[in-house]
Amino acid sequence: MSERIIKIEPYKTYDDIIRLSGKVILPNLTSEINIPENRNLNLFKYEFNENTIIIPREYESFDLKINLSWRQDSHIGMLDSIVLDVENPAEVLALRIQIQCEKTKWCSEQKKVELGSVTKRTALNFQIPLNEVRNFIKVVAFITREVEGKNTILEIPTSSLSIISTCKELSIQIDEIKDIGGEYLPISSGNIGDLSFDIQGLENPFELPRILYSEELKEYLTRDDLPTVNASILTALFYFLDQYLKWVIFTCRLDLSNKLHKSIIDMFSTYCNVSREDLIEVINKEKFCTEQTQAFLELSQKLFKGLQLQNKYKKELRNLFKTDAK
Amino acid sequence: MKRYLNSIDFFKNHLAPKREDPLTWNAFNTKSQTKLVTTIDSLPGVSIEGEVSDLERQIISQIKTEIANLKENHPNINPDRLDIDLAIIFHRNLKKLNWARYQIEDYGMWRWLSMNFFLNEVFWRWGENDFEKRKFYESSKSCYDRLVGERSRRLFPLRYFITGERLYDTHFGYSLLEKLAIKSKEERSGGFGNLFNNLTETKLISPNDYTSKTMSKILLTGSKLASNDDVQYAFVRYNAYSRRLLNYASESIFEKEICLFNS
Repeated sequence: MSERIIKIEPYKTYDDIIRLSGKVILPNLTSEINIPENRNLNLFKYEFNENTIIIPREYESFDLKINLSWRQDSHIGMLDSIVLDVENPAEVLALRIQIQCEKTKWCSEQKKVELGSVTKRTALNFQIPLNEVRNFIKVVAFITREVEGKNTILEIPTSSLSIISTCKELSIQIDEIKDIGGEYLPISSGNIGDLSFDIQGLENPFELPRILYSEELKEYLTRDDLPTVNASILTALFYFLDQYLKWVIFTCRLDLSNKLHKSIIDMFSTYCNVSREDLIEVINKEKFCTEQTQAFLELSQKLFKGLQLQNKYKKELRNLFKTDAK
Repeated sequence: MKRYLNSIDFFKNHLAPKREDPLTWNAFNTKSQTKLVTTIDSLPGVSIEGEVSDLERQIISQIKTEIANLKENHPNINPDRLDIDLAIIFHRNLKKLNWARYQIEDYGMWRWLSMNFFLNEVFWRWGENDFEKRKFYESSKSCYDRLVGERSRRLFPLRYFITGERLYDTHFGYSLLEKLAIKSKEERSGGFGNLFNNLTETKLISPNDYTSKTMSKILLTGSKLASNDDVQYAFVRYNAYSRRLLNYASESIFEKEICLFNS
């Protein structure tokens, strides 16, 4: 008996044709903070000016003003091909936009905008209650079909609320994200004799190695208000992460269903500016082969730079120096 | 409020009942809150920070009184049928402290609250049945799981607070929860257990928790009561269709495409 596989293509979509941009308006501040071109705004300890550092948690809420515009080479006419011949995209499609927090699952009211009214002057206002959100909020928007249509062409969606275009999200960081030594790397105090720091478990292919610090230093290292502690951790980070990179490439028996393994891959992918797939490929190569060793050396160098850039290392260091100089 | 600074591994290593060691079952099976707190406080390395305000103590005491009344008013109803009432009790009271979603992931705090005040309530809800059948390890393990929360969202007070948060409506108040509470106490059991699990575990991001409310309403407050499987499949279908539904579809779409009854 033969089996015929019939491939069913999903309906056509056009992603990223409407661009989102936005501004944060904090109470009592005279001007607004623009969300940068890269769509990510880190509002935590944002330097508004020389004298004002913003700590979002000090506010109850803030306003978010979102502007919409067609991408330079896009226009409403492009959507003719994903509605029925007798339909006008401006009448059957609309843009829906909402703000949400993945961590707390809070979601703002959803606003609906007619496509005909999308211009650079279109502005939508949202109020963000800070006790409902944590870590990040995202501005998400879609173009949806708003009415049911009768059709048998598979390329054209006919159900109402079919998403035919997804806009690139805007993201705003509200809180400090403790991604190093917090969510990813296990760090705790331990009895390690005369050492100040140690990394144990580097030979275990299954479990993440642990960073240990001396019990005698615990009372200081558990405080986050001491500049010397921050300076020590910043300096030690390069070595710690390099050791973890070595471990993940040469020792780890990678299991992507393991949350910790997945997190560490994500972390190195960010810091080494390499895709997850490429990193996994390096890990899966024959252990210690020339190619793998060479890849490690390159990644190690990228890590050294990436770690500084991703964590605004220079800024942190400058702040520490400034505090010390006072 | 106070919070434990220790990670879940700390409690796993020092407090989790072990099948082969009956002594480790006692902390949870003797039903003595004082004994459990003394045991935890004497663990080497246990670390707590914060203070409890008078208002917080009052609220905790109010929650305990209301749970005691609930037990007294429904002596013949299995405790698992009272979960929605517990969600109302926890949510209504903790809201007086202005708690919101920001607190949800402060597991150290929820753990401290849970372990220091709710042993008897957890025993009644999760342990008593096994204890009466002389399954002492199982009863202690159930209490440990809910008090310490190896899966954080199972922490006793947090589980109920989250459900309250998702089904409470600023306009209609607790009316949906109250309807669900009545239904859950009726003779036929419905899929309330799976509803709880999905409301605490799944993504369901929608304005004003529209999706959670709509699905709960359609599945469990109508004339027909969805079974545990119906509820489970409804959430599976929702997740499969969520790309299209965009969390804001009309109730009729949920009725026709998501919340389908098998029987």
